[in-house]
Amino acid sequence: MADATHAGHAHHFDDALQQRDASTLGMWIFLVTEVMFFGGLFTAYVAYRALYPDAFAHASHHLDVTLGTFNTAVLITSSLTMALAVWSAETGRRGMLLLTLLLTAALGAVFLVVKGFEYAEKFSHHLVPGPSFHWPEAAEAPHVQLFYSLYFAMTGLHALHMVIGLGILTWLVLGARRGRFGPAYATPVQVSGLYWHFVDIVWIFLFPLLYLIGRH
Amino acid sequence: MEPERRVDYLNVDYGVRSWLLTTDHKRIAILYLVSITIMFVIGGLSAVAIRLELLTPAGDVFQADTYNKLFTMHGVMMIFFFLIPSIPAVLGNFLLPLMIGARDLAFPRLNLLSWYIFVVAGLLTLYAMITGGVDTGWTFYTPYSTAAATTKVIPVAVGVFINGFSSILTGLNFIVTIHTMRAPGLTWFRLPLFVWTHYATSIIMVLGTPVIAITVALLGLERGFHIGIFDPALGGDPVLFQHLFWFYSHPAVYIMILPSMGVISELVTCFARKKLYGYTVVAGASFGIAFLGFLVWGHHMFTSSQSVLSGMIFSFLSMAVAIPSAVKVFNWTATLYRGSIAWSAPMLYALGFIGLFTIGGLTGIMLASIGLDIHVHDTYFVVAHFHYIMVGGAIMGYLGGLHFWWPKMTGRMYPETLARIAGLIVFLGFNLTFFPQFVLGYLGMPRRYHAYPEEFQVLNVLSTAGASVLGVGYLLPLLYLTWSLRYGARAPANPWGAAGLEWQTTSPPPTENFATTPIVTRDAYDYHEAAAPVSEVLVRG
Amino acid sequence: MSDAHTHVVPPRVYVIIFLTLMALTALTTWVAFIDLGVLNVIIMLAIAGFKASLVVLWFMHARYESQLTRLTILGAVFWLLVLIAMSASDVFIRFRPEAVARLGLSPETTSFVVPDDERAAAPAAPH
Repeated sequence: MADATHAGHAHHFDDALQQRDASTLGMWIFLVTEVMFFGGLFTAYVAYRALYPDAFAHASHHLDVTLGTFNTAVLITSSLTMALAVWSAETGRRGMLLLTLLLTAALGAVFLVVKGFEYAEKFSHHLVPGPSFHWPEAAEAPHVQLFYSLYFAMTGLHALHMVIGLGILTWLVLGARRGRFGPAYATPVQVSGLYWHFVDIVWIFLFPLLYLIGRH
Repeated sequence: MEPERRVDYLNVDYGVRSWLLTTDHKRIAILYLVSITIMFVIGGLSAVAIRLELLTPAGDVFQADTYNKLFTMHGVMMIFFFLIPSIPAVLGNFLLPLMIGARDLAFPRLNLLSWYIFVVAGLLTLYAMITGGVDTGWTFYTPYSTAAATTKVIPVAVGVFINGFSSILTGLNFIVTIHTMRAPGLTWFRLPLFVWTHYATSIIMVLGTPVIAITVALLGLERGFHIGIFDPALGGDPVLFQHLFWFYSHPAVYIMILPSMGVISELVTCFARKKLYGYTVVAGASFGIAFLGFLVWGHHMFTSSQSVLSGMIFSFLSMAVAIPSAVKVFNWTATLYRGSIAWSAPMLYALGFIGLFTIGGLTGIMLASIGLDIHVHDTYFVVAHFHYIMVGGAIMGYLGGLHFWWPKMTGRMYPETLARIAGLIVFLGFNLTFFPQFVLGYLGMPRRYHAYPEEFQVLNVLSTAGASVLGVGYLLPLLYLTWSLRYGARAPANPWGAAGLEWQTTSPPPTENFATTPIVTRDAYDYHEAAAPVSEVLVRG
Repeated sequence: MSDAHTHVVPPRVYVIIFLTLMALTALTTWVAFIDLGVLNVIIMLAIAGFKASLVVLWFMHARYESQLTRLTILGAVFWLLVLIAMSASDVFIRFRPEAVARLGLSPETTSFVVPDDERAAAPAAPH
């Protein structure tokens, strides 16, 4: 079996290189499915924002730009630490690998905590779609509710992916502690990095589309 | 005659655990074979109920609500739990590594996970069907499904959602395997067309399935949590649901037919003893179908209030997608021309496919024309069209392939004469069932109704009679294929003298597929020389 | 045995990309508060697209990967755009026929809805 210094491979592969190529291509194709998965939500967003620009702008104003910008910075930083984790694995820096993986996980957790605060605030202001939804301007209230339906669906799905990402990072940390990853076997770290960066990219689009509508 | 039983993938280990925890692609294929057959029977029984009701004009067997649940169950089971997995999960899983000279797929454990996901999704959906059912039709249109239906929409939506991941993982596995694990010398243009069509199918699975996943997720969220993306009361658009739904569900029909086309290419070449006419063009046509197939979904929505402009674009593109399909039919026909035809059971299924798929395809072009579609939309004309493709096409291909590769998969021959008779019964029963439905639809009989005007009865009786014959035709293979497992003649490595790497190993194959990795030096359908005997497979290194 | 195919990207490259991304984030937020009319959305999407490209090319190593990987990425983007463009445009055409009319397209192309006066004038449908 593979470890940090010996490039082993599963029995059905010819060699370690074939295994690495297969794993990497597999993760890229999985990310394609994720693009299409989020794509349905982006389709609904584009359609409705084009139809109800004013209601969407008013709804967006209620989101906290400071928290949103902060969270964007947090995720971008976590992408940096994840990339450094990959570098650490590729160059055999065990201590650095562990540190960067833990930092990435910590930043991810910070993101989710901030998100939790935002959701709680929405809840207390009656902005969760459903029977309890309330918006002072009755005329645009239905369209504002549409915005918040999209807000919760899109950020909720994104948050779910973050949680899964934290699970993957936990698994990587456990493996890193046992010295499983190194120059000969960095693939799990690389492939997990691809996933983490993808989740970052989704947020890179969500942030301006949800938080920065008509702020002028 | 071997003194002792040779070890193969079937007898290498016994016991439930060795099957339920297997990562051998061949065993997983058998697991799928059993599960999808069960799904087919359930879908088939609901069809029996439908045809029984439609024997008489009055809705006298079932109440309208029950009838709605029956045709929903028929559609959901047949499409999501039988047709979409069928050839890829059974024949694709079994044959792909063999055809490319590999020991397994790229991700064997993901393959097993794929099957478990399928089983869990199937059980959940069945549970929902049995404890109340769903009456929305397999298309789940909003706002009925989100606001008005009182049936088990959410469990079925969840079942379909989960099942999607089974499809996605299979497609992902196939693409990576074909790219990274081909045997030495097996260049792209030496691949069997079965592999090409499964590659194109996998691309569709990977690009399309996530969209229906998010769509049914949104459906569930709207129904359960009032996250109202399609709710008109909020300014939402129910037709947007249809756009998102059909973005997958149209390419899904190509998921169902492309693998079958791959089977036909293998059967026609083997039983005409000729290489495929226009190999490169047919390979390209598979991708043409996949590509264009993603651009035509609006032809399901001509009467939905979709804009005329959108309708015209979709209509034009729908005519275009017929071209690569027709190309394949022409090339199969050209392959048959001046071939040395053997009338084996698989060949009968292949010939049936070519004729019936052509009829289905031509009526598809008729439906692509907006004017005609408005007249026959939601009538039995549409029902007949897609059954000609799905049953006359896809299922015939599946049965033909199952017979063709049965010796390889099980090490047993099936009874040939009985199989030919069953094939003829299927062909006759099929046409008697569905051809009257073209006429019924054109005359105006709507679909999804349990009662109809008196003047349509004769054609409906013919259709039900045909369905009985078709049922017998399907029952026969179920019986004699099972019988052959115990009593069938033992199969040699290559009973058909076919080309293809899968025939260069034993029947059934050993777990690791090949004693030594084959090296490929020939094109795919080298039939003008005799198919290479086992001793000519070069030893690696 | 180290993997000959892995191009190891040095940390300073990552840091440069990171700083660029942070700067672009600040820029996005800053521009949001300036009124540029329709340009706001365009600039926003352009910056987001550029940020995503940086992540894909460097953080995700796409710059050093095979043709197949790049084709996979471009394919995903292409089909995403097809989905969004064709679906969202149809919704827009149906809900905002007056906006479509301003583009010069006739009302008949936008929907099947028969205007009330035409419906009153038409004979009853035969059956």
